[in-house]
Amino acid sequence: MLPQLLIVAAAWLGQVPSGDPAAAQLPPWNERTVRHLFDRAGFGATEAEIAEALQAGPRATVAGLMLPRRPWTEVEPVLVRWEEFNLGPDQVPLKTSKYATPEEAAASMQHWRAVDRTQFSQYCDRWFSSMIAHDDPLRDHVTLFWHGLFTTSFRVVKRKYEIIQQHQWLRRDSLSSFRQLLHGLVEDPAMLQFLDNNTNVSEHPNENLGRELMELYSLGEGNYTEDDVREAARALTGSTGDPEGRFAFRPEIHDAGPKTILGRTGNFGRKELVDILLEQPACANFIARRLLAYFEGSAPDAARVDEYARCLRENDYQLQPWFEKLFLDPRFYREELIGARVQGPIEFLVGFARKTGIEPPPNFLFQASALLGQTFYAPPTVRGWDEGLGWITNDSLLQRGNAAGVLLGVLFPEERAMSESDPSAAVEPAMGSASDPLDPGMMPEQAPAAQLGATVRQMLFRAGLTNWGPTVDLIGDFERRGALSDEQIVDDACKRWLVVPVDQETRRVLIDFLARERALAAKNSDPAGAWEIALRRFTRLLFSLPEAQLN
Amino acid sequence: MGTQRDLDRRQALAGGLSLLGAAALSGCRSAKPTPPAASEATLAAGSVPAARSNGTRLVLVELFGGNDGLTTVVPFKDDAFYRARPTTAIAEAECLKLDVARGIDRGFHPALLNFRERFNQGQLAIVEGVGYPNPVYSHFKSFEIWHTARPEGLSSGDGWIGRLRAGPWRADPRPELVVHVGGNLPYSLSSATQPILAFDTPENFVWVGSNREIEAYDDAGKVPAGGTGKSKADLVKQLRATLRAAQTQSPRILEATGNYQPRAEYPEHEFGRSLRSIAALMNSGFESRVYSVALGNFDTHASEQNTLHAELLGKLDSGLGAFLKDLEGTPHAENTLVLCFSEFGRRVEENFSRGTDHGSAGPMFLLGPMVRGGMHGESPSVDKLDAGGNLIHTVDFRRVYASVLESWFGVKPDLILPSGFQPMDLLRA
Repeated sequence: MLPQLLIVAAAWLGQVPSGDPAAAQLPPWNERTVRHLFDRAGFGATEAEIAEALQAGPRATVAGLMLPRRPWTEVEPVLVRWEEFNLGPDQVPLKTSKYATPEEAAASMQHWRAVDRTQFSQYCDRWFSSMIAHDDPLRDHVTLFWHGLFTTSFRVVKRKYEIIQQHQWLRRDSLSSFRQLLHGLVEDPAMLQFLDNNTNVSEHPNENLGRELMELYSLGEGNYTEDDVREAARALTGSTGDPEGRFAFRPEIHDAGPKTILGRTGNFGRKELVDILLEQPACANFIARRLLAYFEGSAPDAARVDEYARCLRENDYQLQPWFEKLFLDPRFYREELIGARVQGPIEFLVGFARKTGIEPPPNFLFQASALLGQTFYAPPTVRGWDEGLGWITNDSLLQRGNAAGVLLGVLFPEERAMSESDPSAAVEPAMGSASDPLDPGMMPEQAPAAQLGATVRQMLFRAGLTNWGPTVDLIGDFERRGALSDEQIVDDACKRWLVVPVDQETRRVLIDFLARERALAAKNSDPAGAWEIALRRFTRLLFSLPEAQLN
Repeated sequence: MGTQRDLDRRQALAGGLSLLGAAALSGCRSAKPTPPAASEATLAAGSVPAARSNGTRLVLVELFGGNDGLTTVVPFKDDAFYRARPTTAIAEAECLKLDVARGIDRGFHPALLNFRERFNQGQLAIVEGVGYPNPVYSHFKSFEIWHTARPEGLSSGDGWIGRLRAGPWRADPRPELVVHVGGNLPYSLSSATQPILAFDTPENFVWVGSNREIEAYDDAGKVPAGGTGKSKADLVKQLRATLRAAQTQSPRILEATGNYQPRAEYPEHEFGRSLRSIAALMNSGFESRVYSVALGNFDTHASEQNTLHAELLGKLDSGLGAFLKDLEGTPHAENTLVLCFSEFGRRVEENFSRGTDHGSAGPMFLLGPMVRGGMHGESPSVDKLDAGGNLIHTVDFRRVYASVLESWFGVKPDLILPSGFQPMDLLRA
């Protein structure tokens, strides 16, 4: 109890105003606050990271977060040109070309779609792996934040070339400056296509980008007028993405005349427009509020927004000083914030993999996060995802438990359960057998495969998981940590995997579950195999609970 | 170990789960759904007595993205419309004219065949020119206004259905009272204190596991929130309530949808499947008062206007067509009212991308046997626009809400809405 009280006391002391960062007090530094930092700045700390951070202290740890731990090489995506593969040798669309039957035309389309899908899937795997490995945790987490803010969807932007390039740009610039990002946004081919700016021409401006640029990406609703939207749209005319997937300014469709935007008049183009937006007091406040809400996990009060908006203004929107300030701010570590944030699906899955040491199979995290409500590069609306409690529905809460079950190898397609060579088949009775003689319950035990939800099943097949199983040794893992009895295992798991502890009653349910599984495993022909399965089921149960969704 | 009741529920869990197995249907251990916890008497508490205040259901259909009202209900006699829409207008010859004999110079988009049929049967009401003062052109802010029925939007508190839930219906705490089928929850349903039930694909609305795991999961889910720090207690409590509702409702929903034999053929798209799920729940003893479903994205800024809009309206039409046909001849038909709305219409003049930008007023649709079919409200003028080139609304959407509250749910509109919104005569007595 005592350390907890100390944290609370330290956090309370930290609430003394700290306008000058140099004079500010350092945050309390202990296992709990280090975990908190790595949960929010990255995707959860490993035991080694915690030890290292405790040794290094807050300043060095936060400075380390600004640097990559492993180099990342950007990829050169393939430009899949729909117009090319759709033409026969006679330069007539394949559908009508005499050189192709309708089947051949469809096959060609299918082929190129597959090429594009494959390169996107490989890119996703690479990025998910980087997050799991904590190669550059802060950069990756902030990139995820920018993707949620500067939304673009592959449902609209069909070529993956522009999508991959946008993500690489966001990742490259994620810790640069908001000024640079906002300038980049109005020249990003994926964004220009997503919000119809390729057809925003002087004669009849298309307002889509102009409006969202102000409402969602820089100022927030209420800080501009409808006239400003129209004028901004005019300033954006002619900014397009070309067939090569590059930015192209086309003066012939640009409206070069004078515009009045937010009180300023001139022959503005995209660059001037962005500078005008950045000049608005509302802009720094808007972005500071969004960043605080995301990384603190709680709506900031006005004073906090002002303080952090000032930090952006004073540093010309530089982001590194901003994050340094936040992560060295004792108030970032106040007890009411720790564990009071609902993890998003990608974070939950990446964090789960890090915590358990399971290396997810390719394509799984993309499929699973989609099932949990966060399809990477397909946010539900232009505003992105509803974060916080918005992530949790009755359905998505169940799916988080299912995804954990798949990753732990306790849920798998029935085809695999049929295989006798499968180690888990040793503890599960064969499909369709009357009952589990070891099960004291009334119900015959069925292989979980037979009960897989339709979408879970689909996800497994899409990810090619029919023969996949995790490499994990939970028996050895708990033993090494000295957690041997059922109580010790439950307490150890809760301590290292949960930020918000479960209550006594739930703890008792978990202990009872383990006790029963232990007794059954002992009677199994392969006791160790059965006990490993039991520990995996327990782990999956724990990650299905509400407390495990918080960090 | 649990009680007999718990065991029954576990059997229900297992029964529901087994429906998923390909060969598991024979000899499945199905169980009776949990009996409703509250009677109709408690349901009506706090509401004004009305003939149909019991058992009536509302199906909210949200057309997100801003549906182009002018090509949904086409003013085919209006030259100003055709001048403003050289490439995106629906030609007079193409549209499904409503009732020319009665002087209605409107036609449905050609994709709305079922809509026209219902209109001709007097089962579809069109309320034209619906909007609100000082229109907002942000999707999100405008939806906030539609969802809360208040100009302040989210900052004003619960959604309008959420207020109904937490006010006149508060005596019934069952999550099933308000059901959303799909991914994102519309804010109209939100209540800070009352649960809602939301699922996407019923076959997947399940936590998969062996019986012993399900038992432990269930036991853990039954534990009420507590024992955490003060500031997090509410969050954990809310998550626990969500988990508990999922655990108790998932087997019921699986059973209801898995066994359902519709009387109509539903189209093979998500919207159609969601409506099929709603019909399945209605037919399996779910006592929900509000069902919600969404269709989109109607944000047709560019050349997709013509093709995408037609496709979306086709889904709306085929989905609702099947749904109404499915309910026909059952007691649910007369108890079901469908209400379609969108956050705004689109700019009258099209843009160069052969699309349309965000606009203001648009039509709302009410469907069902108890609807007073026909045209309601007043058509907005296509040539007398506001300074921004947008339609000027003629009917406030809260008058439509007021009609639903008063005539359908028997609830005084003033309990839910800002005062002063006169109900319209949209429903038959």
